[in-house]
Amino acid sequence: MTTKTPWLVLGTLVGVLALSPTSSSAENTSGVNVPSAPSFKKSNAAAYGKQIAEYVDAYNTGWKDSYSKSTITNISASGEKMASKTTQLSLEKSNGNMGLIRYQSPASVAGVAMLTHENHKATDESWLYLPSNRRVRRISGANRTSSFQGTEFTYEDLSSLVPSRYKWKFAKESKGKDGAILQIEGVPTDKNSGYSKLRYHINTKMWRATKIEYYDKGGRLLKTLAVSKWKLYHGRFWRAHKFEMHNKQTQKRSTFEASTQFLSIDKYKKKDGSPREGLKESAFTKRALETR
Amino acid sequence: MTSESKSGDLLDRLYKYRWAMTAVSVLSVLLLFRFGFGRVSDFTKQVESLADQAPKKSQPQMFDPRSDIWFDSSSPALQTFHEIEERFVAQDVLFIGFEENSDPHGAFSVKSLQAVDRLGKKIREVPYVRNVRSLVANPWIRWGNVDGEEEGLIVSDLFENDPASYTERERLERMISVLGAVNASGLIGEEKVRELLGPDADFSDHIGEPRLLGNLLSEDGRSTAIIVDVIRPRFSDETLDETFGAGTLSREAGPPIHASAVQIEALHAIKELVAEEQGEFDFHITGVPVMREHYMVTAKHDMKFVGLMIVVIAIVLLVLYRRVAGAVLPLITVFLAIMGMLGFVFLKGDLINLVTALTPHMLVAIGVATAVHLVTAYYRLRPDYDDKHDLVRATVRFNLLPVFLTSLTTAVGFMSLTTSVIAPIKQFGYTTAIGTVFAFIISMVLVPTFLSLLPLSTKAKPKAAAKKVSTKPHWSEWLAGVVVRRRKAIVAVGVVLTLLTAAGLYRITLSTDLKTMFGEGNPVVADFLWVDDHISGTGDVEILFSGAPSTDSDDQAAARLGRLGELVNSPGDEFAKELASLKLQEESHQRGQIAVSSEFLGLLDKYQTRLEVEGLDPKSPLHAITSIESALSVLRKIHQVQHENKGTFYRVPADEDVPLDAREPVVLYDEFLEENTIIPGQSASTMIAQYYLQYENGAKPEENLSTLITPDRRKFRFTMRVRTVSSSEKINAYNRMLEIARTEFPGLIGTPADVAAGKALSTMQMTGSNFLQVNMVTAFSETLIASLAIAVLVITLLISLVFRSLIIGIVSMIPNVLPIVVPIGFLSLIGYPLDGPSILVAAVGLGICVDDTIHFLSKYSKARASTGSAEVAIQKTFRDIGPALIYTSIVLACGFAMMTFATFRANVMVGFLGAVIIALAWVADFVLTPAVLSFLPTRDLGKSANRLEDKTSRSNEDNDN
Repeated sequence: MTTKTPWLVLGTLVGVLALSPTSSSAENTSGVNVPSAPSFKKSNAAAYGKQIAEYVDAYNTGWKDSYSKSTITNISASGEKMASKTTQLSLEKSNGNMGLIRYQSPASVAGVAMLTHENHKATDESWLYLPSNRRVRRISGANRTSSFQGTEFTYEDLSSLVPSRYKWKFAKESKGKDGAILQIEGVPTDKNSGYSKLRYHINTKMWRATKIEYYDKGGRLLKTLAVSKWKLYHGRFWRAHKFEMHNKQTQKRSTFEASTQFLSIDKYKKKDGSPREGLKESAFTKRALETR
Repeated sequence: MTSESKSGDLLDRLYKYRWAMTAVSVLSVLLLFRFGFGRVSDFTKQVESLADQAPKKSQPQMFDPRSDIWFDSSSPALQTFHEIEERFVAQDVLFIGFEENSDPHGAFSVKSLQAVDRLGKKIREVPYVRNVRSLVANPWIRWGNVDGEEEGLIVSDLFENDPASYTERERLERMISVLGAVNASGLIGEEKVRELLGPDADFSDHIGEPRLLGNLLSEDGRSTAIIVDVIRPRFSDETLDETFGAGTLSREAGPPIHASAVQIEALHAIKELVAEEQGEFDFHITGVPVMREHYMVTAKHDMKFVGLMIVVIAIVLLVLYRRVAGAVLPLITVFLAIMGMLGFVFLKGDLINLVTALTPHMLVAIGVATAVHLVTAYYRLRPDYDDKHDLVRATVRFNLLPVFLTSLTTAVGFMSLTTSVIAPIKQFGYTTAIGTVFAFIISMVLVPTFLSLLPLSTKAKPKAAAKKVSTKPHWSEWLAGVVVRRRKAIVAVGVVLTLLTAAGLYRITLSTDLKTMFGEGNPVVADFLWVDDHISGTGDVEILFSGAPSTDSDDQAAARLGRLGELVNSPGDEFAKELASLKLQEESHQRGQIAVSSEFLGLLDKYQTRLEVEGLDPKSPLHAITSIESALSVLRKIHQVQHENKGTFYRVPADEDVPLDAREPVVLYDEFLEENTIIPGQSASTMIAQYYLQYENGAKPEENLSTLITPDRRKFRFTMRVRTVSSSEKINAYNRMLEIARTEFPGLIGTPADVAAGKALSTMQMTGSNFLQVNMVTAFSETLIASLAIAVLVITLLISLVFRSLIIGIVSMIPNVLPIVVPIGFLSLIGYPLDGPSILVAAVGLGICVDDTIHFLSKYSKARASTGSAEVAIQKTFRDIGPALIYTSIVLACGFAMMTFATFRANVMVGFLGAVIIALAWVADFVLTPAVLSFLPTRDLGKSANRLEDKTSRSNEDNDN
């Protein structure tokens, strides 16, 4: 997985409010096995850190596709809030995922949609549809440090964890509610990254990051991402409902909170009881962006 | 028991327990100082705990740098300033400018761009730097080939890679996109520009980047600036409560002190980085943090003149008395009074500010005067006594009542300043009052105690011998004679002076000017002027436009939209009614969202153009404004870019820009939730909102619109840069902006009620560091003048009460007020602008004048009552207290004069006006007041005269001797 995939990440990382009663079962009904953990080299902080990052990445593949409805809220330092409602479609692909996000509110941006095709070997491709001029425009996909829709999240923050993009180091182990929390530090190898360092807090029960600290180029703590409202989905994939990014320097915050999500869509049924079909690439074309 | 015997007992007891009382007084002051500084030390640790890392060198935090203390907390400008800090961003801006004249491509030369790139990248890593905008790194919005495939909108840095990696053509294309074709022709020639754009290129389509021109790049393309946003760190309420305690004074003052410290720290780091590059280009650093630091450095530098003032006072005292005690005792009094005052202030939880920093000057004046009166009386009486106890007793008796009255009047008079709504004036009132009380106690306890240590004069003569000496004519006889003989002329001159002064005060100009604030050739001011002349003004002024507040929550608005989606295709009257009602509600909800309102933005666009056009005229006050920045710049640019970069589209979108087929609502079916969603019919307003979204999707987080418009789109920020001109010129510019808005764009400047009722689009409030600062000068000076007028009134009433004569009270205004208003009136008359510190010196002057006046009046009224002759009374008064008043005036005038050697103009003014006021107070006490008093019959001098006579009869005997 590569760069500009916010809705993919929302689709995959956002917590699940399962419509199907079977979705929160502890039994693995996903058809995707849990990868076996490597033999961790705890004596070598760099190797251990890298192993943890790679295992987290491997643990979270195989979800196929997703649909979610989320509320994105920007909160100013004084606590003033502005919420937007969006829907996101994501399709997991081996050479790069596809995603489509569409705004439902506020009224002024309802219908705005953005499509992205990830490309592991080149720059991602992105298109934006604006209902006010009824045109689909290609937009630049190169800048990972760009803000995601004016939130405190950047595209870099919303990218999946790609272990090869960082120099890892195991930092410390602490006790969490559900077991050990492993803290690993990643120094971006990409000079265009917006950060000097990231510190992941990995929950070893879910093999997911429950907290990420982002340090600015000057080495100061810039932002903290708190991930909460976790649910196990299809007995296999842990997903969070809520992501809260807190800018520690400006005290501004942005949250993503999912109200509805389907993960592995073909495992759900429609209201009339008929089975749902999984997403196809045809749902991720420029034409699919338009609302006419 | 008579009052005389009572006072005699008191004086005996004072003498008997003098050492115990001295020990208690000194110990109390030292303990107060110790605990006060203990609190400062605790506070310093609290502030330092906010930092990421402990400072290398801990500095006691005694100074309050907050700007909001200078305002009435209900000031709309201050409230808007805080609103901007909370809703947008709390930061200050640094400008690092330089010019490139040696290369034909000016600031776009490889060497220049590389310097900008290197420096910008290094600065970005300095802690607390939020954003660095430069010629290399700024949001370049354009239409072009995206990633080598389709065409589309691109937002990226102007130079994303090493500037040397670009071909000359790529570099010059970027130059034209920023400078515009016309300006670029001026730099590289029209032929070259046409070669790059094509021979038929329409220059009006290549207007450049108005956001950058006159902001970080000069129009000739030769000078450029790196603009650095340095944040004022913010903390959560929980963190602040935990660090300082909820509701404490420290909680209010701590964060701004921390913010000031980190900004200075960032500035030092940036200066070091700039120094590394300095050889290649001559960099000029300006901005609010630079000026803030320079104030601090200059204040620190000028502290040595306060020391010099003390040294000069000591030397003059030594020369006048030719005895060590004459110099040491007044200075000890002053030091202990200052220590006591500082201890009290810090223990109370307050800090020193620019106004209370003048309290020590005041206490120097009060403390020196009090001690000098005691010491002078001691040395004058010493030849007549052969018993130490009697001598000290007589010295105290001679001074106790007048010193008590001067202290009481000064303390109560200055306490009246605590009714002011401006915190520093309030604090100045109580610090002066407390310091005066300390000065009284210490001088009346410590000075006599130390005087009792001195040996009696070996030249002590019997009283008969002293009378021989007194047969010699005394200067007081001559002066008293002249004053009484020429009293009409003297009073006439006084009246003329008063009238001239009144005319001067009527023309008073309150203004400050950075250009003269630090004297000629100041390098920091020179940097400000350089950036002003070459690129842009660096002062910041803000206008916050606010639309009607929303009555719905986001959820309610979203639910309404959902319901509209359900109803849009529903038939029937019942649904039609609900639909109409919901549409009305939605319209009302959207009306306040001014940042996406084409009507509001269209009007604002015209207002900005109006200001810019008038600003081109050097005679207009608006010439002081150099650039205006807002989300309008982004909006216009995106609109232009969406329309093949045509210059005519560099404007706010209008409804006709929306395609016809987009104007109707569309219903979308969500197959997962199995429900309809409505996409409303599109308009210019939805187009604007979508352009913002498009921009924010590509811009870096630090460049997103959250610093310019609020998330709810109901607040719109207008940021302007203002040149380094005087505060009165700036105020003229601000007033002109408001005037234009009121007369030509009333829709932008409605009242909240008008806006809520839909009669106006927005309210308009001006603010910003610079705006607050210049208005502070006026607001502070006006409030101080009003507060001082109240203090003068209170003092006059007190004097009337003490002397039981309204006439005396009124006459006392002559020596109290005239020495202050004459120099201020004269300066105003010749058109010299006055600033806050100049007015503040008036307060110090008042303290000195009141002291002299009461000493004079108490002796005069007593003498007049006993002799019945004005001339004799004046003569006797001169003889009794003349030397002390002369010594005090010489000492303090010389001391204050030392401040005229300071760097900071305000300190020079303190020195100059202080010395002049002291000299004039002397003239008033020795010439004008006696002349006026000589016109009054004895009965008008008050019933207190006899009481004073009773109380001090013993001292009169002494004096007669």
